[in-house]
Amino acid sequence: MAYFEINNLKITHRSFEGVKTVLDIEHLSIEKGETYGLIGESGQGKTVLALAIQQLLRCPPGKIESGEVLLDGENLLSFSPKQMRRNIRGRKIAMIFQDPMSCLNPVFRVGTIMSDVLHEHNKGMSKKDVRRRAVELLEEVKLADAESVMSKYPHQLSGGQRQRVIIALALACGAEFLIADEPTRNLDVTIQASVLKLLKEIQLKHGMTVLFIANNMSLVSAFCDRVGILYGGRIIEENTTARLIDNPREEYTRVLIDAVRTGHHEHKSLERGDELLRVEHLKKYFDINDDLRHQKHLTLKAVDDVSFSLNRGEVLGIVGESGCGKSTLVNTILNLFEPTDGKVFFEGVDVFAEAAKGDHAFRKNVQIVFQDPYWSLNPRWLIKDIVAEPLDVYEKFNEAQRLERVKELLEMVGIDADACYKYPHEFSGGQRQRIAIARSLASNPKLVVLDEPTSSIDVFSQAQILELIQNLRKRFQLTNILISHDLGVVHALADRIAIMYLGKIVEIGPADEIFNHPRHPYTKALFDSIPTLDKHGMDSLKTLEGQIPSPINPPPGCAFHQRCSYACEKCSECFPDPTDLGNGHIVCCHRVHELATELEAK
Amino acid sequence: MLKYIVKRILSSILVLLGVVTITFFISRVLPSNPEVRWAGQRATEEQLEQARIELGLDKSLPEQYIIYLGDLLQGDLGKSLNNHQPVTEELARYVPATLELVILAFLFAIIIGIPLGIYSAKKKDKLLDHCSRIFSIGAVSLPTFWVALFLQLIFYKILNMLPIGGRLSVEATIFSDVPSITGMLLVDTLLTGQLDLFVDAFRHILLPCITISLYPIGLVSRMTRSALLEILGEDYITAGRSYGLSDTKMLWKYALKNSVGTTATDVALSMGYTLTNTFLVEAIFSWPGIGSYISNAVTTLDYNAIIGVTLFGAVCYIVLNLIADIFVASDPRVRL
Amino acid sequence: MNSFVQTMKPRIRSFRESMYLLARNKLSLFALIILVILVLGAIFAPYIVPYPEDFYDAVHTNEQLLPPSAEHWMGTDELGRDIFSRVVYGARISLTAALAAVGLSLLIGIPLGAIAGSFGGWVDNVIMRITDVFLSFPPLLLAIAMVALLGSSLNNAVLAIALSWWPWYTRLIRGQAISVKERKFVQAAETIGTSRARIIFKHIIPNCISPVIVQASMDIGGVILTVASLSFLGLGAQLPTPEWGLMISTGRRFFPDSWWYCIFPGIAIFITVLCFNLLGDAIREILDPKTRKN
Repeated sequence: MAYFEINNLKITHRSFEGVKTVLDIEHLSIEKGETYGLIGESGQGKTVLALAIQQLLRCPPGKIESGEVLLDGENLLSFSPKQMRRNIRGRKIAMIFQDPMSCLNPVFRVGTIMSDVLHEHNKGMSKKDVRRRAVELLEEVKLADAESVMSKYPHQLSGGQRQRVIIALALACGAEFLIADEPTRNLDVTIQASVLKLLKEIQLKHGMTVLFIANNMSLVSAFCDRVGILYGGRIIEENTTARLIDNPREEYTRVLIDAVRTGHHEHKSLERGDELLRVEHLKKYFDINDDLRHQKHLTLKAVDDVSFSLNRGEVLGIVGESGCGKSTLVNTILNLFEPTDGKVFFEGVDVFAEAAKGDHAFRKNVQIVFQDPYWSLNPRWLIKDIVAEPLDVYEKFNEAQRLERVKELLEMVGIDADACYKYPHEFSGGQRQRIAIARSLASNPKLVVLDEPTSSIDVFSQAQILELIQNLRKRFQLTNILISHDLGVVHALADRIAIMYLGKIVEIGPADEIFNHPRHPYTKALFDSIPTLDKHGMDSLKTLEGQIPSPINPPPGCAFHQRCSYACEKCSECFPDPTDLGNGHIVCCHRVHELATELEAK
Repeated sequence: MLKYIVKRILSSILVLLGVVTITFFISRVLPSNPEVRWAGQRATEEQLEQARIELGLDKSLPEQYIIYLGDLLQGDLGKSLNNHQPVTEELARYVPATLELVILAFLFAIIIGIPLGIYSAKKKDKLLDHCSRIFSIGAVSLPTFWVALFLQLIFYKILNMLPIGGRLSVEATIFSDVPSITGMLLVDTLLTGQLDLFVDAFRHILLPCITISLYPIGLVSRMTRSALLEILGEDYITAGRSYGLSDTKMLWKYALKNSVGTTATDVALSMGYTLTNTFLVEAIFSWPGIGSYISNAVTTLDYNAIIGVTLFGAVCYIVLNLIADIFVASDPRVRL
Repeated sequence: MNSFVQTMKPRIRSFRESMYLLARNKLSLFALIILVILVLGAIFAPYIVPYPEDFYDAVHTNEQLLPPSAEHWMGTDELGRDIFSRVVYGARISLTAALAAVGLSLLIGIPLGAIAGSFGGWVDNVIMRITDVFLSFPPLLLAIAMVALLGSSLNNAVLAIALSWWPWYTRLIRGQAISVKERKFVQAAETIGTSRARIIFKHIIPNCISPVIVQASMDIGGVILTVASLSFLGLGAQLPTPEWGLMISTGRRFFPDSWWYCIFPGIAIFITVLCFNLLGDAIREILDPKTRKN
């Protein structure tokens, strides 16, 4: 008998549409000390399972119809709530949640939260001991300066620190079985790797069994021994990690795997034309007043002196962690934000000067497709009006012409013409993104910005959307700026790549060259910390120490120097000038020449 | 924190200025012929002219506004149109009785309303929850003035348990030496140790107090319940439970502390309702407070008195909200 | 026509969903039924009450202050008028007055809030400081002061209530507008080049109005109570209008001997307001995204 087992578990959910089965697991077993990865996209019932195991699922509307959940041979579903609390939760099973912010109580200091949990499980312990133990645990999860973390409120910690506190809490209970529900989902990639490493280390040290829940395959290959694929509430396929990746049986599994495999999509470049867009020394600063902290007139340098150019037919991928300023950069180029300084030329015309004169012709030529296709479409408008919005601004069509053009656009993106009289909520995420693309093409733009175009839709649609974008590019000779943190997407679409860190472009150049020979230490570290299928075992994941500094008060010189293992004295003094390595590959690093061989070797 | 409080006080003062402006506007622009009421119906043209000068109505509106502000700064609310007495003095006479009533009712609201809300949230969808929800929703649906009459019917007419109105029984006022230290009888009788008078005063205050506290009880318990339920649905509560913390602890320590902010605001709002309700029912209980004063002023259209009471109410309410906001600021998230 | 049906389809579906959630809550269903009866009663009052001539100033000299009986279910008043007939007719007065007051406040509150939220900056600041001032009066007190000085009448009471009630809606809709403004479709419209006015009227306002309407319908109970309170103080409806608050106020002179005079109109107020509040609670629960998600 396995350590943890689920047999014939069926959970239903009641709503106005009737009763729906959300989870139907025939069999799942995890051996002691094993790491089991449960993969499925959102809405497939992962979190329902995690909560049901601990009897934390809200019933109603949920209902456990049948089945058993066995831990060490005992059926957890037959336990009374009191037994569950006394003997199981925390004591045997602990959980690490998706969002480390929302699961730490915001009005208590970390110390209080830690001591409460410790006290609950060690009733006789003295206050002093509890505190000492709490500090020990925080040190164990590698929180620097554990004493001071104790006296901080959750909102004063960074995402990575919070997740470490959560892990410490799970440790505090002394549980042997850990449920990790997408523990790194809301973390930056460079942080993600270090949290995962920590988790693995702790698992090995304490001999824990882990049920690791994730929404894509990339993390699993490095972390899990065995993997199960959850689709529509059922486990459709299960195998050891290596075998599953090499030899998937189900179509869905294959799609999941392909989605995270870089270089899988065929890259098609268009012929490049003359210069379409040139950005010169663009700056966007935000003034921040923080009355409560007695600090006034702080400046957040979201975009700090960025220059690049873009030729017709080209795709420039902008890559960076959240908060690096890539969205602000695009919004400033689009003139949605007032620029602080710098110029943008579109077809040789100074965009900001024209806009100041009240000429918005630029808008017609530049469109954007947003990340989340739900909120980018007005929920109260009919599809035909949504798609026609640019037409209403730029064309003088009558109703019939307008409708015709809308149908033409919808057909182009593969949506039936009868969608015209529907509302956005009647479509799936992928379809909505198609509609958003149709709208962006309505005014025949020359440049389309793609802001994480596939990151909030399901994997099935992701590949299709990428293909659609490729085809439309060819058909309309489009130029694109692509913002993404997904290297697969960047690989598939981008001709050139710019890497941003804290408001600056640290490296820019041809995609192939940057992928294969990154020359900036940050680029290298970023690529290394992104888990891919090619990386097996935790050792292949490189971690980056420290956290991303605040853009309000960035470190002097090269902002990356505090986290850079190659930093020299000069790095903390001044920002390096761009070095051109030829072929348009430009790097901002003081030691670019010295490091060439070293980075290559790793 | 201190800076926040100072800032909040300054903004309250600004709001107060706005309030004064509005009351000035309604007192000078809306009413018709206050001079007639000042000088009497049969006044001659000269007397009316004299009245306009005495009331300051002969000057231009901006001038009147400046004078009005100056008077207010000195605590002068003008004179009653009926008996030509300064409104400030009259208010000072009526305020203690109202204050006594309002404070007691407010205590009722907190002592009954908050625990009711907490238990209701704790026993969500159980019988107790249903009962307390129906009670609190009923409490906010009752017309206060009607409740006053209804209670009088039951406790005075039918059961004959409690007096119908007034602050003390007639015998007590005649035969005892009624103390007047703070003007609040319950406090004064306790201070002087006159227990029999205290009991008498308490019997008199009970009905009006129950009447005006019903609405706030309902309000506070509903708000407490919904604030708690919202917090109990948060991820950090689920997280706490998954670490084995008990539900009772979650409720009393975690959820309650988080809901202090919203509850404080609601309590301030309910205090506002308590104040309003006294205006409606004091007359019914022959309670000699500012409610009776304004009812009287309303029937005689004594606009200085009406405006005086309105301003007084607004000032109380602003101060209350100020206190509630400072309470809310004790939440560390506010200091983000 | 076809396109109209297609337009309506999604709305029908969400209506169905709402009805499902409403029907689950027995108490609110009960409240809804009572309210429907009340509204019908108010509309057809003259045809269904036993003594329609008693609505205004009829006098029946030998039937004064009779206690409840088979002929007069709620007794008679000091002029011998049938209280039951007058209470039923009172529903019409209270409902219309409350609707008018809420409607007027919305008329003031929605544009101001939408403007404040959409424009931001100093416009927002000015409007919100004004609402702050209005909200810093204790409930009802501002209305009392205004109507006392405007002159007592039902119309003035409605006006005064509207004038002291609108800031709630302004606040609510402003908050909505600010959050809608952050939605990506507004940004999308900006990149498309849609004009600012069009963005405000076509994108922002339609998306923030429904919670305000819901709030307003939930407020009707409270407004009915306020109207009755003003009338009770003699500041609202005037004699001989059969307004509930006014009836209680007049009945006080004969209280507690002729208790029925005061008690029955009060029960009418109570039931009406209670039903509105119960329904409001249910609606709030339905609209709460958390309930919906589950």
